[in-house]
Amino acid sequence: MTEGKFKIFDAHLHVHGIFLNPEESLIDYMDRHGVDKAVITTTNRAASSKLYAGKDDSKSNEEHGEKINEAFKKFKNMIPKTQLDHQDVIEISRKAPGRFYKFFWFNPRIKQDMEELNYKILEDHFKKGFCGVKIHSGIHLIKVPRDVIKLASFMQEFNEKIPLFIHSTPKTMYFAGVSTKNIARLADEFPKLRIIVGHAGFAMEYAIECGLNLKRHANIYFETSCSSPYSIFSLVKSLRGQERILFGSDAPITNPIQIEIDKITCLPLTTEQKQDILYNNISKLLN
Amino acid sequence: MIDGYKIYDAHMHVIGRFKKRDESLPQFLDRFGIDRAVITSLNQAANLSTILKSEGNENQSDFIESFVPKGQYDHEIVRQAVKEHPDRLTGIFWFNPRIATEEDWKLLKKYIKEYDFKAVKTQCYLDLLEVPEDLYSIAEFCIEHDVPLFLHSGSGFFFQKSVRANDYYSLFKKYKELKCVILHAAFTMEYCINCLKYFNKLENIYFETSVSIPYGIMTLIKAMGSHRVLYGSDAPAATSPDIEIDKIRILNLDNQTLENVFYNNISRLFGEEP
Repeated sequence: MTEGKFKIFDAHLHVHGIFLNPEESLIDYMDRHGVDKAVITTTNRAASSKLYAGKDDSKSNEEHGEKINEAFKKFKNMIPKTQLDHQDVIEISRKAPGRFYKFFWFNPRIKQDMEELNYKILEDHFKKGFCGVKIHSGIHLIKVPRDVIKLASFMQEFNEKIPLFIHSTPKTMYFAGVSTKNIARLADEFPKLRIIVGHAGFAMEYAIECGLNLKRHANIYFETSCSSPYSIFSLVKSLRGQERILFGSDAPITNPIQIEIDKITCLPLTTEQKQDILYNNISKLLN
Repeated sequence: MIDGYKIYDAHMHVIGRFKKRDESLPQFLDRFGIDRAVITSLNQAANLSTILKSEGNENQSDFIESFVPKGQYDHEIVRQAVKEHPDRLTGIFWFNPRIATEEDWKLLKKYIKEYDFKAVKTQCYLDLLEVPEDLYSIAEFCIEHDVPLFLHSGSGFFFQKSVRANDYYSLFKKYKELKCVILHAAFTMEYCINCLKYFNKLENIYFETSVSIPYGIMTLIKAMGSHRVLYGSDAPAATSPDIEIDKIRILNLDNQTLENVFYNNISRLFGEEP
């Protein structure tokens, strides 16, 4: 194996996003960046920057500010009340079945009278070959572990090996966030549940937190998208090894794939360590 | 210069893992085509050897305390570097107002007045700052001396109150003349959206791009205007500058926007001719 010729298995890819060229299929996009395989899920099309962006110079800052405030109200209303449709994931996967591992983006905050229906949807997707679940704490305002207990139990009962991907969210004006302590409590309660912490590095403090609070949990894995290179490096060091670090891009929504790959290849690690992060670790976890 | 665009990095440190040991700062800048850079000190206690000492035990707030310096950060290396390369480097002072003594304030003033440092930076988490309360004094200092204040963004440690965009908004409401740069302004999409919500009408607030999500950077440029977004890398401490430059290059922005983001905005903020 030589530096620069890595096999790539992206642990966090979406079907759609602005970094995909208009004429390009997702498979072509993967080929262009040398990505062999990917965990794939759908896209929440309601969460688009078009809602807020596009400053009209003919308008005053006051008017533009009002437009942004309106966009926030609109966004809240556009968040799907039901589960997201994953037909796009199914169709893309059919075109190259050996290359995609389908994850279902699930909202566990469901009214009690709708629970049965929603879990039936999830079960049906497991039967269609979906092999993991993603939750987005920031969009669906999910409190961990409280809002995830039923989901985790359901997943464990269906198949203990199905991983749960948790989107990390720091505290914001509208949400208390998901802390590493919250995730540790979930891992304590479900010691066999394979948990993937998404965006595990961010701007350094979160990586330190992950190293401090989660390293004793062997069932927790750390995905690298949207993290600074030093955060990823510090995770490798604080976990005393790269075995639980999974390369992910969050492309083509938030990042282009290449930048996220570069964050791994630029690290002062051995070629073998990089290959583990870029391919082997997620491959082992899912196979 | 990259692709014909001059590059002025608004966020660099004097040392870090992504710089070669035998490489000077100007050589480091040259390697990545960077014309000028804002540099400051680094909290060297917040390094991997400190993290590795922990076994994830319960006494973690004491552990984090070991990151926190008992005095101000030493800026002598920064001052020397700026003195030797004034055409390439601009100094800014990383200051902890929570523990500042009268002597510290005098020292800060000296760096601004005598050594021509152009701004002040604060790091709320590593320096255990309560926001906005602990920032009032430094905000007043910055207004008095007409220098911008650079404010770190991040997720915070578990034992701290996380600093949110609305906490900074409380500061800006109180000090309307204060010019501020929000560092890592799109380090998550959630934070970026909070910035849009709170700061869209505040023309004195600028947004620096290091360790940010490209989609967030694009959103900031489109929503806030290209005159309020500053390219920064946080190199060589957090990353390699080419990665941070590429985040902007791939956004298909027009020439004027690229010139503004890569160079003109930070230059104008410091009152320099771009």
